[in-house]
Amino acid sequence: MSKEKKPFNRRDLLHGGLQGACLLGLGGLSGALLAGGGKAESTVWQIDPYKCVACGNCATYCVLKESAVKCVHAFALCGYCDLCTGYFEPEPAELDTGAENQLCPTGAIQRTYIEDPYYEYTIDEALCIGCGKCVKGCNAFGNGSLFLQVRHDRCLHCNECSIAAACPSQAFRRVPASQPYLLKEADHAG
Amino acid sequence: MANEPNHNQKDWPPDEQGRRFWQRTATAAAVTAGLFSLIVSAVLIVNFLRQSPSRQLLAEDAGALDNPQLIEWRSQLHQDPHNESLKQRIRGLDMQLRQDYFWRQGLNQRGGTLLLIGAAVFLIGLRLAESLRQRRVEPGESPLDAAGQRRFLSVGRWAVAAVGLVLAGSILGLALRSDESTLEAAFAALTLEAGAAVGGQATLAGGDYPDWDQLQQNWPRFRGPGGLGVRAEGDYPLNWNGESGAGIAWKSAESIKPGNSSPIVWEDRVFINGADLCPDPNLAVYCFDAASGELLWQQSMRHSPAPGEDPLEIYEDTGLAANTMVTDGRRAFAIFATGDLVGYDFQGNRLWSKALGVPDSVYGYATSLIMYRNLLLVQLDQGEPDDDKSVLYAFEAQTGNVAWQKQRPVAGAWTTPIIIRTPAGEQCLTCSDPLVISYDPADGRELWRADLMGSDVAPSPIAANGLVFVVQPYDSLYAIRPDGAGDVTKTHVAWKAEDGIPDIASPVAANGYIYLLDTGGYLTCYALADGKQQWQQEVPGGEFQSSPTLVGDRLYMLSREGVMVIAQAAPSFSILARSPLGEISVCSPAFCRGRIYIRGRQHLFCIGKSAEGEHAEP
Repeated sequence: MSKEKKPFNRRDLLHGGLQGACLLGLGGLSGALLAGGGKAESTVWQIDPYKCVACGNCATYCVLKESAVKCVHAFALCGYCDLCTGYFEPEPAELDTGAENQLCPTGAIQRTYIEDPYYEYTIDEALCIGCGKCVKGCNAFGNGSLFLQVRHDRCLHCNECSIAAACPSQAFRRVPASQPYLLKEADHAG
Repeated sequence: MANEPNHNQKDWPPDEQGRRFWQRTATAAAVTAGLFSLIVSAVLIVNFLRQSPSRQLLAEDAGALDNPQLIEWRSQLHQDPHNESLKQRIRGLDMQLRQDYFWRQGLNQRGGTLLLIGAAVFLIGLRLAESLRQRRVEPGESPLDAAGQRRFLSVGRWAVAAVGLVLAGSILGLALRSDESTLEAAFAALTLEAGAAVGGQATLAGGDYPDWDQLQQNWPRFRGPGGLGVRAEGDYPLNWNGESGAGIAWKSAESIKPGNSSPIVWEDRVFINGADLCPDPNLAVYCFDAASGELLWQQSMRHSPAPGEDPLEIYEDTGLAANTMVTDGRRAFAIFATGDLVGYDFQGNRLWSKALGVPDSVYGYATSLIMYRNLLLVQLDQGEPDDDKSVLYAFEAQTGNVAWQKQRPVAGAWTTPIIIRTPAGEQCLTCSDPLVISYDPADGRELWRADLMGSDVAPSPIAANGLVFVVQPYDSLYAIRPDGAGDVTKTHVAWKAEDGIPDIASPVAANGYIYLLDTGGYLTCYALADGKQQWQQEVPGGEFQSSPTLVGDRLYMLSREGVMVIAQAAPSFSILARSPLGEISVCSPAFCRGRIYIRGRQHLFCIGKSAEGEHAEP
């Protein structure tokens, strides 16, 4: 009398798969538990503003269509100049907000009068595309108060950042996720 | 007639009517969603392709909003700044470009979302329609197939379990060891292997570094080719006067940032670096036209302080830019007392930079850069021998990647290494407190070492007559045979001298003699073969910190006051000329193509025939 074999059905497949998954999960869990003393702190990409050469790659190499890199402004460094070389084209016709005088291609920098002869410049991040033109202008003749940073509310945290790979000055580096920004400080102005 | 199929829907049973209704609905939904997805895809593709044809006229790196018409109008506005009509046209076009750009961005975002939804509806509808098309028929059993499937799935389960265990072990191993230093070490190891290959024979074929003849024709590093301070031959000026301008081909008009580094020359370009504090380190590199002295370009960078870095302390006599640059004829590299290393191409474009950290150096970091083939070598000695902080780096010149690096059990020093050629191969010779160490420059392997040095080592090593010479300041000159292995302290010192030993200036040797110039101006000559002292002379001119240079049989010795004392060196000493620069100088001059380049405290001088071919005589 031959023993009749039980047919393999979908339930068997699910059962077997579940067992495999549990084994995998158990292995991972045990590894994680045993490595409870692991000290590796998660890190994220960031731009060292003192190395950045504002080449423009940040605007074009990011995998996001609108780059995660934005211009930020260290107000403590800013000279609040009337002739801001991060805001105005070289040799502007007038020191006003006319499009013909602005350096920013998207008009992302707002110029606000404070008192003679001081003006405040703020970045509208929704408009900023991270091209770095203002950064280059500010570094060339100003205090360098405008600089680029990876905004982590937008960044996808790619393992290999496309911009970092294309950065000519190797300004991208990993920083602790708990301190994800490399900001310029007032006492480092130069 | 009872057996004929019933084609009247009203006669179908209710469940069959319901099934057919949902099947038609799902089919319609799938078709609609599919068409919708196709339309959205087409719109997105058109949006992607639809760039202004005029963008082709722009440079490759043009921004998304750059437009040739706008650029042209802006240029016209510079010529005619009060043209209100032109301003209005610029504003209109600018607004149009911005609106267009952001509209396209929004379209891409919304289109992507709609495409995702459409594709999902299409797939669900298709699957639903297919499942409702007819009732499922259970396949007949095939015992043989089922048995095969069971075997296959049994093996699959074991495979999944095995992979799970491997993954668990990997995770465990990584978690236990995954700190930053381990990862960095792993990357460093990988880089080292890559670097070793780059430094090897493979790159020779690429030829991305100068050959021997090119190096000899130029002055590519501190103390010229090989770092020996020797120009075998050439017609170089004897007389000039920096104050009157006599004999001066040109003097840099630009106010270059201060520095005690020396100029380097490659064909028609002269490079020099400088730095100041205002209030933070501002580091600069200058490139001059060798013929006219025109400043071709200058680039600057700021020191990037590491987190928690102590405020920079500058030793005034050393400054921030005492480290002489190096070039391979394609690129020029500079390092500063801040530990910032930077490379530029000959057009002034920054290639790469690195912050190596501010070296812990009592008098300020002053070691100059050197190159071996396509490797940039940085001797970063600092602290005390037991601090384990001194490193010899080899960076790939093209990329800045670390080819290899070696920890050095030495204290901070102010010497610059040299590359020597021996019958057994090339060596990178370093000299610090307390060790003279020779490395294989291709891979950083230590070849030999000698425990001969003491503290505050500043004179750089040289090589001549099959020997290498190192100086322990105020104490001893050692001649070492470089053919040893391991510790050669007691086995390979050919001879030793103890009279007239300098503390700052490096020695120079050629034509059978070695010359030592101490800070007080005493010049001592020894025979290379046996170390026998030939003579000692007091050189008038005050204090000497610059290393002497031997051009043919003439010694050029630059005093701190800027007076170049030129003397016949061998076999006897006689002064030929004394030429004032008019400025304090502690740098070592560059001798290249009949001209002498000297950095003064304020200016860079070129001594020789002017660009027009006049030979100015004092």
